[in-house]
Amino acid sequence: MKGQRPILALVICASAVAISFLVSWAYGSTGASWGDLWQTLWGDTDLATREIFLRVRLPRVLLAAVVGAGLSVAGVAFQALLRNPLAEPFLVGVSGGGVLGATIALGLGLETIGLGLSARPLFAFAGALGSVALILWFARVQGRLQNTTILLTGVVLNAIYSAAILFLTSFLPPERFQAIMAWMRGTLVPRDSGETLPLAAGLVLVGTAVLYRQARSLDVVTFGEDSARGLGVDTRRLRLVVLIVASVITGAVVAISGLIGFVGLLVPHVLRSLFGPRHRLLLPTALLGGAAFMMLADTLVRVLSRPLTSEFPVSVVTALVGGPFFLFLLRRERRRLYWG
Amino acid sequence: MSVALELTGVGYAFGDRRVLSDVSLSVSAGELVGLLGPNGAGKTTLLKIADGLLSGHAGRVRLGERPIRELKRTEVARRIGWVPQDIEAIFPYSVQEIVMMGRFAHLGPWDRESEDDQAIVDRSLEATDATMFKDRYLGELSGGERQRVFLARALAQEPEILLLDEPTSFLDLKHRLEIYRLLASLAKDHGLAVLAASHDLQLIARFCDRLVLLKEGKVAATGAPKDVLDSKVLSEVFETPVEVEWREGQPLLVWR
Repeated sequence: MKGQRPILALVICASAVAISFLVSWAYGSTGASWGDLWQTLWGDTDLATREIFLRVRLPRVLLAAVVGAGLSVAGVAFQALLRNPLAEPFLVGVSGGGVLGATIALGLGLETIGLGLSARPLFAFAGALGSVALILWFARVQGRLQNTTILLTGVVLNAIYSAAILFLTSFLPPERFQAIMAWMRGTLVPRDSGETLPLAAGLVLVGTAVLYRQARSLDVVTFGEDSARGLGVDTRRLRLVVLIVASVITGAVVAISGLIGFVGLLVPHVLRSLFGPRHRLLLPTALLGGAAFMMLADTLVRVLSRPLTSEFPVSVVTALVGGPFFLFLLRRERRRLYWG
Repeated sequence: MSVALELTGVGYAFGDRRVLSDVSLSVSAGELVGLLGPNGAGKTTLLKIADGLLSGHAGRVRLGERPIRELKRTEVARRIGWVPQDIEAIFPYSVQEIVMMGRFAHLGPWDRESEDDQAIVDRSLEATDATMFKDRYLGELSGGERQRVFLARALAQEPEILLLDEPTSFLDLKHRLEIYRLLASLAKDHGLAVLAASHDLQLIARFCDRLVLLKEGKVAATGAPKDVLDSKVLSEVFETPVEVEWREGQPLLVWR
């Protein structure tokens, strides 16, 4: 099937999104389920149930879809450009840079920066882009990217960012501090995001379309920059476009969901092994697959949190699934990584 | 014969280390030129400069009438095929997909690969005897098989000029001969200008029209194989006493 039947691959992923969407809508922290959802859709139910499905769950399910889609697509972009199968917005410190940026916006009490633009996604984007620039600066030696340096830079950047965030937030009043911490841990709470969700959704979709236009270049560039230029790729332009787009997507997602790791690693890997590495198929399937994965992960959080007084963050699920997967890949690919 | 590729007074340094100084050479359409020299003589750097991959070098590179700097990367890629020494794949693309990447410069961002593109890929795989592993992955192939894949990828670019960096270093006797036969035929029958860096003195002498011998970034000797592959010249350039004997148009090397 690898790369041979793109339509089938897209149908499979779209079905996964549809099923995940319904499951995620039907199951939640309250007992309201399929029957109630059905009645809500036909309008014959009480106000409270209606509220649960339309005002509480639906925005949250959509939020999960946007976040999962964005993180997966950003993962695909970073993996191709950094020529590193383990690159992922969270692990390489790009999400962390975004969180630091957003924290600064929150700490300064900035809600908008005029013209109705939200400050948080913009600051998050700036932080994400700054991280990418740092990674490239450290890990590029004579035009070649060093795999181990990329990952080590990410580790150190993440440590620096979390220290900086702790330092900055300690100056805040307690209730504000609590709010930032709750968001930063990686939760999907739509009332926090408000009107930034449509903005994030738009940025993720437009960003994916821009990357899709570069799909063939992304294939070629995984064989190295010289090789890609020899085949006609303007690698400098490609790097600029992909880094900005991937940072915009990461910033938009981080601003509404905080730090959620490993999604950008897990989803593209599974899709590559199912449908092959070609970006023309990988990008759209990552968009769909990431959305489906995240909706299911969040459903799990809501259902498992039923007996608890407060929910645990969805980043717990992604890290408990994705972390071991990362280690598995690290072991399988370590020879290639050290020689890259 | 028209000059396809012309380098004039090319020099290059990595930081303080001078790699090339004042190298001039040209390759005409229909000509197969061999580039020789000890390790570190600057062969790879020279090929990269010839393909416009390194900036900040001294001297000029011209493709036909035009300086390479004036051309876009896609235009260069439609005219020059470059076969690097070895390339590692990070993701599992099939051999066929890799060779199709040679069509990059001929396709717009929204174009689908046409039947013509597929036919060109098939022909390229055929020419390098790589058809039998077209559905396999790079990681499963031997060094020599990989070299044939990347030569096929360069052929799929349909270039006028072919630059090869030790294209036969991992190949067995049979495939070494076949690759040089192919290069000679690309030059003679299809009018390509071919420049190949190699340590394969015997085959290069048999098939090349001209040789360029580099030492420490300078041209130490250039001319017909018989003149360049001379006992005195080789002993000096490779700093090893060797004697060259010619038999049936091929040099035999004897170390002293």
